[in-house]
Amino acid sequence: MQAVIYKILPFDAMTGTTIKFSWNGNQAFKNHCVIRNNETNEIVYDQTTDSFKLEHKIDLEKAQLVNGKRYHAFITVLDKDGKESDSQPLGEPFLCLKTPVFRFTNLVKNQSISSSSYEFSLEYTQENGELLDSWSISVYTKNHTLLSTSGVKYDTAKLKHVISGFTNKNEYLVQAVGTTVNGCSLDTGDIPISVTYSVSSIFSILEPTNLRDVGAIQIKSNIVSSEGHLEKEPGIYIDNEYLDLRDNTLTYSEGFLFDKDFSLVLRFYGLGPNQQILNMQDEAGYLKAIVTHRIIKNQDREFVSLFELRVTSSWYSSVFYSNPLPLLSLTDEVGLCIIRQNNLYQIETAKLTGGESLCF
Amino acid sequence: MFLGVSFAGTDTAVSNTAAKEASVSSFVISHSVLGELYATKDILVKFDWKIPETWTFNTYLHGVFQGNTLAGNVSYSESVVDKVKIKKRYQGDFAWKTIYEKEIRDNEDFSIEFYDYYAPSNRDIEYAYVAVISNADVDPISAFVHSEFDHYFICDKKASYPMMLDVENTVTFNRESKTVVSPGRKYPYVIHNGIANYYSGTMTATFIESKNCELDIENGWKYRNQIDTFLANGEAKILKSMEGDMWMIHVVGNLPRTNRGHYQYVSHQIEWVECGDPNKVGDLYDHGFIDTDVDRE
Repeated sequence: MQAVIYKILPFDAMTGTTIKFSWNGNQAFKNHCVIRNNETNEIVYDQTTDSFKLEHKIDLEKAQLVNGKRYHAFITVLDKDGKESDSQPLGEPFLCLKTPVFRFTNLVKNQSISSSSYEFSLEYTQENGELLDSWSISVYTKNHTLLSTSGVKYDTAKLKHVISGFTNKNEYLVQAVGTTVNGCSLDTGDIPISVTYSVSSIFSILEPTNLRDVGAIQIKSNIVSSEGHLEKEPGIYIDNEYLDLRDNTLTYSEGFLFDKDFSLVLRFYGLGPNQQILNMQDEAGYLKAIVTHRIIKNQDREFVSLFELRVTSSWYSSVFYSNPLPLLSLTDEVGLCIIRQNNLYQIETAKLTGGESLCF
Repeated sequence: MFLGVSFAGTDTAVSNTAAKEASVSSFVISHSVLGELYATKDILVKFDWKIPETWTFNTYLHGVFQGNTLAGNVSYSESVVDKVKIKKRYQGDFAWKTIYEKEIRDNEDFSIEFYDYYAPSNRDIEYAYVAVISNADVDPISAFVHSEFDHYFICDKKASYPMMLDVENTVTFNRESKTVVSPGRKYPYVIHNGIANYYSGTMTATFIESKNCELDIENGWKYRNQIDTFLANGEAKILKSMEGDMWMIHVVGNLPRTNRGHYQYVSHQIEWVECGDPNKVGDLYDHGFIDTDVDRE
């Protein structure tokens, strides 16, 4: 009578495995395992274990297994009198393979994702040339409820998958599993991630409205895309907060239309005397509004700065002046506000850094 | 204050100084180091110089010049965006479903006004606006809404009709089962074959058009004929209740009318049978309700 050895999946020679078998004879007291090299038939392992269990854990200190090689395992069972069962004529074949590397390339434990969708990318390598057969990526809640899965994928050339639907300020578990061509199971384990992204105010960009009498939801967007164009590209940005236009101009001509009443605010520094900062026009060329920095003497015969708004509309020119400020230096930060209300213009200004501005 | 300008120098010198009203369509900024630009429909007299961070429907432009010259409320321009999508999901669901797509050719195309007639009543629904750049979806901009409708509605892609008066809907859940009595058994065999599970029903309603909150009874006959043409056009419909039920249906059989005691007081009877799932992108697309099936299940 022989023991029947179960299929032995490939394993790493450095980590070993437990060979399981079935046996229908007398009570097993010991089991004896012999492993032979497939090519040379040389015995690389020969050990007996005292155990009632129908399994044999390979003693790595006694085994001379090498990754990349094929072997055959033979198991015999010894009863209480030491009587040994028959050995298998052919033995159970198995393969030793180094544990593959199977991991996410763009994800670490407790990583924070700043978007509602993410393209997960996997890496698979195996030292002995064992190929990947299939893989899948799954996302779970913190309580391990499955939310989304890529499904089993057999395209092993591109180990990427996009999962979208992550909700802001939430935590998830991500896991990838796979199988090699020889049946080895791969598992990255559960990797916890958190999701934090900024959400625009619902009244600012996208406004869904319930229409109860119509039976529909109206979705209205206030998406404004407007990009300024520089005369000299690329522009010079200072500290990632300012755009240097001292030797450049910035033009906005799309994505907006100042119709009827409006207010336009600029925050800047570095404007010299008699320099023009703003030139507004309509499409037909009937309207032109130019703002220039002027220096004058006030009633106390002191030099002050103010801004002149000259509006030319058809054949009429109108000039408006802002409140005066103490003489501006090139480093003073200034706020300028041009208002058009009921077709009449106003201009206001303030020194935002430095001393207080004078008012009328 | 007069600064080097002659007072009343010509006969038109005292004309009003209001400029001709024209829309400002472009402006140029120069000769400075620019930190922020903000334009709004609001009138900012006596401004406190605290530029608001939140974008509102009155905001025209807001630029902060952190490495780019964008002054809109999105970080992309029409030069790079292929199209925009409107996606939808119910609260608690994970996956988004695309219900609308629009190609972007110029700046005005970013503005969308869209009506979702295929939303059930009494649900929390999240909508997202997603730009597509180089075939990849950019992070969505989303907003929630709670749907609540006052009546039953029946609609298809082209029209939607409320059912406000004398509404009754008798619904049956159908499945195949047969009972076979065998002479040798006390109890019959019950056989369930197939996977057919669908709703059907009979709807009655009085259709009268409401104009400016008044019922247009005089032209009721025209409206009823219009309803008949709509119901009998052979296209799938969405039928939804104010409670939250929603079915994708076909109208079957004839459309009898019943006179309820007055020649202008007439009810329709509509036999219907379910033909798909109104929450599935594939079914909505196959029956012609939406024009995109990019998120087909």
